Amino acid sequence: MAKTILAIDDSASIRQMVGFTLKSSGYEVTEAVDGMDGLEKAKGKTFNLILTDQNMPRMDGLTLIKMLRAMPQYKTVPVLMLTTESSDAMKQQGRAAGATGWLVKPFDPQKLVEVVKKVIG
Amino acid sequence: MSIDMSQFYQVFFEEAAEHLDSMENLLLTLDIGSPDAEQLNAIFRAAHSIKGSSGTFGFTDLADVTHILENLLDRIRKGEISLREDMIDAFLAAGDVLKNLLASHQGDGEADRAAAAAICGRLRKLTEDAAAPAPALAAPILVASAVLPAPTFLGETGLDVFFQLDGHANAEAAEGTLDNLVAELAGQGEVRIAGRAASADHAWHLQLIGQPDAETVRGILEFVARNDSIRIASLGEASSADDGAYGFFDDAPVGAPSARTDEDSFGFFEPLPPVAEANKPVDAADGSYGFLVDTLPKPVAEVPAVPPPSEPAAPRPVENEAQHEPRRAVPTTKAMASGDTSIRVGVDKVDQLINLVGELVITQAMLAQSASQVDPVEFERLHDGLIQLERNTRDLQESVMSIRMLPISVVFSRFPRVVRDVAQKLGKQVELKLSGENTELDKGLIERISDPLTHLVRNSLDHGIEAPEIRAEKGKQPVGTITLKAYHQSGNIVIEVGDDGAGLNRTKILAKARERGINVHDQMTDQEVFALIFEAGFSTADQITEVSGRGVGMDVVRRNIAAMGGRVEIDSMLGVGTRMTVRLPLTLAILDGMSVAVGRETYIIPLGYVIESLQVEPGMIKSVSGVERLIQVREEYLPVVTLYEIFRVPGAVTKLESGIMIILEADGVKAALFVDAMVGQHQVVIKSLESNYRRVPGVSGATIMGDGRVALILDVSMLVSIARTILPAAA
Repeated sequence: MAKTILAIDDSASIRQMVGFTLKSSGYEVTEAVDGMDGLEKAKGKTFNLILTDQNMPRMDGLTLIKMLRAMPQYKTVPVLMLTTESSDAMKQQGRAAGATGWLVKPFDPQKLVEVVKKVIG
Repeated sequence: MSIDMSQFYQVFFEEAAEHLDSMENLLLTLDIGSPDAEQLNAIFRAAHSIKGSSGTFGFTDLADVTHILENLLDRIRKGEISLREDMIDAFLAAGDVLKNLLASHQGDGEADRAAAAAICGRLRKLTEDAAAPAPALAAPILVASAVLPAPTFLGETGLDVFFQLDGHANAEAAEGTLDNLVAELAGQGEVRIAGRAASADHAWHLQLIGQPDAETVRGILEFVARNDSIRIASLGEASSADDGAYGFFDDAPVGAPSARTDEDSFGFFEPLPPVAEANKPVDAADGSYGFLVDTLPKPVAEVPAVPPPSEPAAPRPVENEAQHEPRRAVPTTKAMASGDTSIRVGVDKVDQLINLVGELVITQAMLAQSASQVDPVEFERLHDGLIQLERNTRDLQESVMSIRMLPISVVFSRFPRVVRDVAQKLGKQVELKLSGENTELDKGLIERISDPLTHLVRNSLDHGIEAPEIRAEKGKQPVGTITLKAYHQSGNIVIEVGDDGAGLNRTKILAKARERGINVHDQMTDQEVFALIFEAGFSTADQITEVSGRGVGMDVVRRNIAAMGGRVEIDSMLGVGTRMTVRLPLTLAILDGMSVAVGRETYIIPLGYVIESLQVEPGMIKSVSGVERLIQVREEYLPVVTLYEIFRVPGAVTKLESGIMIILEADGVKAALFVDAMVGQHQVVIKSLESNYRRVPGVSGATIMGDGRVALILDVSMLVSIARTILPAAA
């Protein structure tokens, strides 16, 4: 059965690109428009991987990760941050929030697939 | 696998345009003295979002500009730099540059590279200048965060150590070696085994807490580990890809052990050696370990994401060397319209739908007409069904038309900027008030009303609103007001452009009109006099200004509005203000029309032009040079336009007393249209004559009647102008 990925980004074009790329690689992708939407969708089922943007309206990526980690079914699910921020401060925040890793924007589709494969195969 | 990025461009273009628009709107409403934090965040996020996606899709020019823009916005948002008026100007200019670049990528015009470079310089200068006065505060922080070595994590210092054991295929032997190693390393600090290798091909991960010396640690490791697999990094910096483009936090809760198969149970959280090999085929063989140690303690922000060799166009915002400014994410929250309750559909699809519904309406009308000839009692169920069909068709038509409806805020939203720029140029102080932004009108109208409205607003700014000192002299508030208002009124959209400026001067306009050789007289109503400013080449401005030009335009405004089936009226009071009222039909696709018969032909007159209809009494007709050309309606003499003559219709009624006069008004001029008879009032679906046949003077379109025959829709403005040529001849 295809691995499921929840991709959260407020940018429709990035969402479309991520969704298309991962679907082309055989993953099942659900998209969400911001942290709040992502959290709602994450409650519905347990995904194998969560990719989230950081800077979003309503709820940002870090808050989302913290809230996910508080949910029993997401204690161990890998969460990657897709972010333009690659500063150490951000990484510390990401780590503290419980992120599994990060991927710096801009990234190309190949890189995305490569990283996702590393995480969930 | 290769993905064609161009398939995502359209969404990106729309998204970026939306962000630019919202950025501009927010900038214009920003209070410079005490900017709202939420607004600043939203502006920042717009720039940030454009940067992120433009980089991803390879539009590096956009990414470059937004990067610098974002930097400055970020610092303003954090209170490191205080907002100034000239910054707003620069941001707005940057928005313009970005729009230009965006348009050029969409194949619309040339990218203005010079402007892009100029705005980058301007923003950079603003950043530097603003940062300079407070060097003690801002500069050290920036420098510090830029050159700080790898951070401590959760208060701990130490090293992350990765390596593959040399020559141990057997796991038990590896464990033994490791125990010895841990004992050796214990002298350097507390040793934690953060990750165990399941096989010789996988890396071990140890953490040394305390103050270990990296070179000593390396020396110890070199005895037991493959030299090219050793990687040492400051704690917390571990396991990023060597270009910093991505990474994994080793101690974050992850699903690795459970989600993965046994043989690589945690290898992928230490992606370094394999990734390094994959990404750096050249370096991997020899210098990879030295490179990693040298590189990693540096802040990742400084290491640009190196595009993989296979992707030459991989985008990367250009770093400005002068600014070692860390980019940090700051949580922001703002309500936004939910993205998944709407879908984007091409306009052509909607238009096709509208067209099909139009056909359906015609078919339904034909059926209704046929059914009217059968006995309603005998065919009761047929009748009921047809009534139902009519209702459904009408509802369907309304629903489909509403898809094309957009709120007029789409147009209004550009005016804060227009007013700001023009007022600045003219040295006037103007406040813009908007109301009824949610009034909806057809997308086609939205696109076409934008330019005429802009012209009206500019005209009000230039000729209406007085300079602040003149206003003060007159006892008015120095700040003038321009009001833009939209609302529905009896099937029309009404848009008002009002100002509290000088008002129109009737005497001056009349004098000017005479000077221009326009036929005027003192008995003209105010409305008629004011309408003269819409005449070609008419301008009462004493000085020709850059803003409103030389009176070219107001005539175009009226013509454009008339072409949309609308009209424009002026009310004004000297010294108090002027109000220009534009009336537009709700949609371009459907028209309320009056059908009239001439001979065997049927014509449709747009209802908006019809004032009244009357039967001609013999005494009303006035002949000029033996030709019956005028009728007297109450106190007015109106020119007569005989439709059968214009279209050369055979078999029409020629005697004026036997037919019907329909009094029309267009562009402020009245005329009487002579037809055989009035047939009725219909909603008709407009079909373009131009695209199906060719342009015919006096005809604005065609429609298909219920009986399947084609009826022409009359171009009333044209007919009235024919009448006007009769009037001077008669006079």
